[in-house]
Amino acid sequence: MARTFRRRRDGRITVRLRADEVALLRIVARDVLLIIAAPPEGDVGARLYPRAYLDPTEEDAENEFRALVHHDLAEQRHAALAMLLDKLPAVDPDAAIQAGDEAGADFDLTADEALQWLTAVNDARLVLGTALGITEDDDGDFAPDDPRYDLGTCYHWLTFRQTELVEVLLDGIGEAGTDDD
Amino acid sequence: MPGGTDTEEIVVPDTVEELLGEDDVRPDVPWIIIVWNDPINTWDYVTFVFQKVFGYARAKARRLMLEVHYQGKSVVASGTREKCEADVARLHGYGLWATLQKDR
Repeated sequence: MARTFRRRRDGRITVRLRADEVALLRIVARDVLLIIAAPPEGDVGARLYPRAYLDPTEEDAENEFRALVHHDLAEQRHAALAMLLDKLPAVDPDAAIQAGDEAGADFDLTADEALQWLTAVNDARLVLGTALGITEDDDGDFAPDDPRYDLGTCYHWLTFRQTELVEVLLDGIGEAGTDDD
Repeated sequence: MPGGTDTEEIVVPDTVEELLGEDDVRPDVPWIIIVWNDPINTWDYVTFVFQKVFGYARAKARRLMLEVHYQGKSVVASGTREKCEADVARLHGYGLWATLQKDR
């Protein structure tokens, strides 16, 4: 199968998706966009916006952190998902699934856009993974008769795509550090 | 100044450096950032985030990632409270489970 992400000499990253992949990504990104806008109480909300302080005596600092950071974080997540959706052509999901292997999208991302894609896909994995109850031992390989099978397959597909993109970005960033150590 | 007298004005230092003098070399690193293991973020992704956020070399980023995975958590950085809060916010932006606390 052709690679989804390819690094160009000028540092931009070329993205190639099949028509059915475009359809799937659009559905997932739209749902996650809604969840980001109004995160549910419970595990998914806590996973997207975790505590900064575990120490209960730091409750004032925790509240201050939430007040300062959460709004920006939500905006940043929204912008990344919106940009991801913006790059994808509108497709009719049924037609796209029929089209299967046909090319669906072919475009370039700047380095900054590639980072946004990375975090948007990761946010989608956090939402799906938490809702599916992914653990170290139960990592989403559900049996076909499990009600979580379809969403689990989608989660894995996102993981594969993200892994490809990380590989390309790790190549770009290189082995050396920029800190003083 | 109103109500001023001839007594010498007391100068209150504004910064720790002023108080201790520039020769003081005690590192101002009483806060640490801990990243906790989670079953969703992949190894390569976490390695990339450590390189990107802290500027660590690949080898150090990977060592810290493995520590998170196998020991459940790792102290990935230290510094002032403000710096740690800012970096924890960035790590949350990348979807990592990070907290800060006083080093003890």
